[in-house]
Amino acid sequence: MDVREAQKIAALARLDLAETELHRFATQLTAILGYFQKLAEVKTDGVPPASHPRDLRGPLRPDVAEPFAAAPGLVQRSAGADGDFIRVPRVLE
Amino acid sequence: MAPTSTPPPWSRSARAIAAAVRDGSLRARAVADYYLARVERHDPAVHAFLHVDPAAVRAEADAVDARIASGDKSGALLGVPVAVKDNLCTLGQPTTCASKILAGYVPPYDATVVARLRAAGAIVLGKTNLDEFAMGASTENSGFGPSRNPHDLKRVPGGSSGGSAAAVAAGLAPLALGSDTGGSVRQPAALCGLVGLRPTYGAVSRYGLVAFASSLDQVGPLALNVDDCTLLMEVIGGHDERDSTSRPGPFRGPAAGDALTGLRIGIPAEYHADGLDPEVRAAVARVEQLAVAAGARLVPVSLPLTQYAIPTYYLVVTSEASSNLARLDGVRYGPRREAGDLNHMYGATRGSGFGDEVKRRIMLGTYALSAGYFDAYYKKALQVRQCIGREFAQAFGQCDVLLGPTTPTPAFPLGEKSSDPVQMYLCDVFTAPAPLAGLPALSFPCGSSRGGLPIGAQLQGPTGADGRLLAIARALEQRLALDLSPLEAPRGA
Repeated sequence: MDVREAQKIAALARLDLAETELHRFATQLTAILGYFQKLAEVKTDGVPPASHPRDLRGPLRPDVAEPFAAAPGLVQRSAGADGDFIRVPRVLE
Repeated sequence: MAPTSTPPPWSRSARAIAAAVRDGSLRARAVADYYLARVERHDPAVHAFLHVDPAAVRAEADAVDARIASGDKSGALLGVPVAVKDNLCTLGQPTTCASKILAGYVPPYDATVVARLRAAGAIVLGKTNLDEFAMGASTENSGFGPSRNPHDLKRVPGGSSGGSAAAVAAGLAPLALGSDTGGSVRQPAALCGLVGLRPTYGAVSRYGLVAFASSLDQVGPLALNVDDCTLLMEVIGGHDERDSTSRPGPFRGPAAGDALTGLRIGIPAEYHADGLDPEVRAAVARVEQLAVAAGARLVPVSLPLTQYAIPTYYLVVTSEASSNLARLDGVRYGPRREAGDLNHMYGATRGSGFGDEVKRRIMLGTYALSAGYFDAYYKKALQVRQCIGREFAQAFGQCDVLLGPTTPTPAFPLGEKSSDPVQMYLCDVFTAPAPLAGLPALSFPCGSSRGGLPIGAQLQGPTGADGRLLAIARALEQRLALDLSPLEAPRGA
């Protein structure tokens, strides 16, 4: 990974990084990804990907709204709290 | 109150504390005062805690005493102080994940495990240090400074639940909660001489656990001995409808009776490869001998994919973390860095709020999930993960549990691995495989090095075998007959 690619990834991840960080991460991620290449040795043709442990089943329940007492508290903790709302910089110009 | 010079006998066991508080021979307030005094005296050297509110602790203890005075003596952890990892939400107490991006954040609700502690009469003693967002194996990645191993203050306590482990080992709390994504309960338990359980995926509710890697994260207990670990697990385990990955039914603890006669213990050849410290190897070999002497049978097994567990684990974990931590952007939680438009605010808040390892992992995960690399990295890792699960299933056709070391070495010096991410990742070599398959695994003390550093052995079992692992560890603990008391004072200052 070169510094330009690191810059592109940082932008995708919404991370402002200093020039020194970009250089350091580009070097370190290159080393880490090089080590990860080891996975290519494992034959996985036709193996289904396992995104979760094996026996997990999603439970179902009736679609009924329940009150959540802590909801106002969650909003109040925002740095942009304004009554029942959260202020953010303008999204659309 | 001045700390007493000789620790009281009840400080060796949470069960003893709860029993004495229940029968009225000990007041919850006296227990709280004892541990608060120890925290005040020893935590400046250990730095196990990020937050302790003595007035709140005393008020909780007084409430327990009042409850007992009124005749209500219910609760398995009556008057027992519990140290809680700072990635578990606590009503009215800061929850920061040891990250500056959540500095000062105080949740408006308790995690289910914390609510269950309180319902059982336990007292939340304080919030413990961790690697930022649980990303690390040494607690050196904390945004608020590292914790230290009470057995040697120049060494790490392990991580990421290093503060929880250090607190219990130093006698600052009789019990602690940690979380284990790739070894974060078991590795610090091993390095600090404690029992630590990573429960089966879904056995303990994660409601109120700040998400790091959702297909792997589990909350787990840390304790001085197997009995205390069981006691805490029985309080926190069992179904919770607020966690969609929660397994149905109550938690089943260890059965009574002989756990070792006829037990088939798998010994994976790959766990004894080069790089295993000779003293760790010898300590685990002693456990094998004791098990055989008690009627167990050793079964050689092979888990050839073990060498691929670290890259698989780190690809899964960083991909999931890059997604989970996207919510930390200055809008809903923590301090906001204003910087013009929305995207600049996100970037500035995240760039200044996250520490080095968190940024590194978000970058790695974002890369692995990005167009052009998804199949080669993330999807490949999920396929190898499937293969690792199948390999475990095959092994458990030949044996009941697996036994091996928890870590390749005892606790290492602070700073030794912090500049080399790959070396730090390799600390997880024996602990990362089980979470990939959702399996329970337990670390228990099995000896110490010539330098007095604790060594841990790890038992791994099939899904749902948590109670059996506890029963086996209890039987082995009896035969090992180690001194499992907390330290009177940290060493190596």
